[in-house]
Amino acid sequence: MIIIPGWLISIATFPGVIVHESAHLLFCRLRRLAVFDVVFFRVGNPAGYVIHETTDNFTSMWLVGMGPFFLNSALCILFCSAAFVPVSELGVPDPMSYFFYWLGLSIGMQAFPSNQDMKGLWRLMPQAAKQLNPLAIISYPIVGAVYVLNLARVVWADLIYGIAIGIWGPLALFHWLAG
Amino acid sequence: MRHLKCSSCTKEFPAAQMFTVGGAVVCESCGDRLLEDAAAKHRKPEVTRVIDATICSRCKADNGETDFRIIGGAPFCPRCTERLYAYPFPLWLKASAAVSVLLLGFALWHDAPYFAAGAHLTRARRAMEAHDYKTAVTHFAEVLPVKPTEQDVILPAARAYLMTGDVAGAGAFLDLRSEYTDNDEFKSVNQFWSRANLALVEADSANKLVQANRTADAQRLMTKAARDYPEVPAFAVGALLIKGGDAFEHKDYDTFLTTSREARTLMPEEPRLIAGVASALAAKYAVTGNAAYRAEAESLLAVAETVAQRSAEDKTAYDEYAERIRHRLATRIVINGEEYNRRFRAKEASSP
Repeated sequence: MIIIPGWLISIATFPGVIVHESAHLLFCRLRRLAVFDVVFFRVGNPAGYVIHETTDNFTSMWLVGMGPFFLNSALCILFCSAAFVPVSELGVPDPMSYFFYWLGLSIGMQAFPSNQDMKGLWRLMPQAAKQLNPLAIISYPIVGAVYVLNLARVVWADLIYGIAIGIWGPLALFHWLAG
Repeated sequence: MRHLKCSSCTKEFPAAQMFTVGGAVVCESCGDRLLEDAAAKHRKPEVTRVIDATICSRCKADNGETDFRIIGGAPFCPRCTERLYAYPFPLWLKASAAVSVLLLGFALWHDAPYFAAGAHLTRARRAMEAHDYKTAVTHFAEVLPVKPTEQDVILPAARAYLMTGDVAGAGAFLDLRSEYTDNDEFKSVNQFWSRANLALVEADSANKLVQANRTADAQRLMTKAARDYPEVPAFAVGALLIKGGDAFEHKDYDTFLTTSREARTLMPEEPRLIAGVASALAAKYAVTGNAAYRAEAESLLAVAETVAQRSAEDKTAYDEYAERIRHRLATRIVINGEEYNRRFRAKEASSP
């Protein structure tokens, strides 16, 4: 197993960090939560952060916490789709396609919400689940999986996830479009 | 701005400059002293800054005696509050997003030929699974212009071309890579490629032997080519045509008719082979006068004419041989193409 420092991974995947923090900011704005400070990227731990107002509204916290996961995953599939056919299907050495693969995979690798992102959700989940909020109910396995996946980052779970959606996403999309 | 009295020195200070140390409101210097005393007694009292809700925590605006709104535990003036709820996306981020969208648009436009080729590749693979090699080849032909290098594309494409008898087409794909991973698929296609090329050489030699009137050797070699490349019926047809041609020269029209029918069975949609049967039937009519032969020959000529409409080349060839066959049916004189040309077409060519 190759151990690569987190800051080096952050530098290599900096577009993903920026997209992740931008997604937090976007959902804070959409859900009218005050944002006190944003760092889109820095060399350090964490590589980026958004300090925002907390709320007791579970849906708002869910969107702010999980937003980056969905936005990063969608952008990963989109950018990798531009590269998938030339590089993976046809083996054409096209520099622009390699650039888009890097961009897409770096965004996909930074899709996982951090444990910090999940803390706000974890606080509100029991009450929301009691009120049968479907988001809260599905959040139990999601939050559990996120904690496990964050632990599994040491065995490249983030890279595996990025590659999985960066390859399978475009593959499924392409086969669907190709009829 | 609010002022509070220090519980230790009793002097008054702006509230925003004061602290609570272990629950007591104190000024900064008293607070430092209390912390030193506590440290000497190995205690660590809780320290917090006193919040003056009349001072904006961001722009320090003073609201007199009226409290600002508390957000996230800190007071903010209306202007700063507005900014908190509409935290701006920086210009560099907007510019980067715009550039990324433009680049993505350019990439999608630039990759359009690859996407089209990819779609044809998917259809070609489906055709290969259905063993429909003709359809597969038409789709692989659309993949070739983007010059794929993926072995999983090249080898199936080469196989499809070889299955349809287009050795040159297979070669065009195989040339796209200089080296291959030596797996089962590669070994299989490589053997197929070798067999096909050997058969081509044998067929070429057989044609030369025909021209040298060494018909038996030509037929043997063409039969060998047909055995080496059984996937393509053209070589077996070639061997039958050599045999039939030899029979025609020896006026053995029964054998000529049998071999022509066998050849047509192998390639039923080939107009020249349909006309070949018509030619043999016309020869049989010429020597027997049996009208059944004539009727079948005319019927087959009509079929050949219909099928020949598919290409200009087939149409031109049809016009040439149909004239000779009709002459044979009309006159009951059997002459070969060379003699027909000498008697009738040379005159046309030389006439003004």
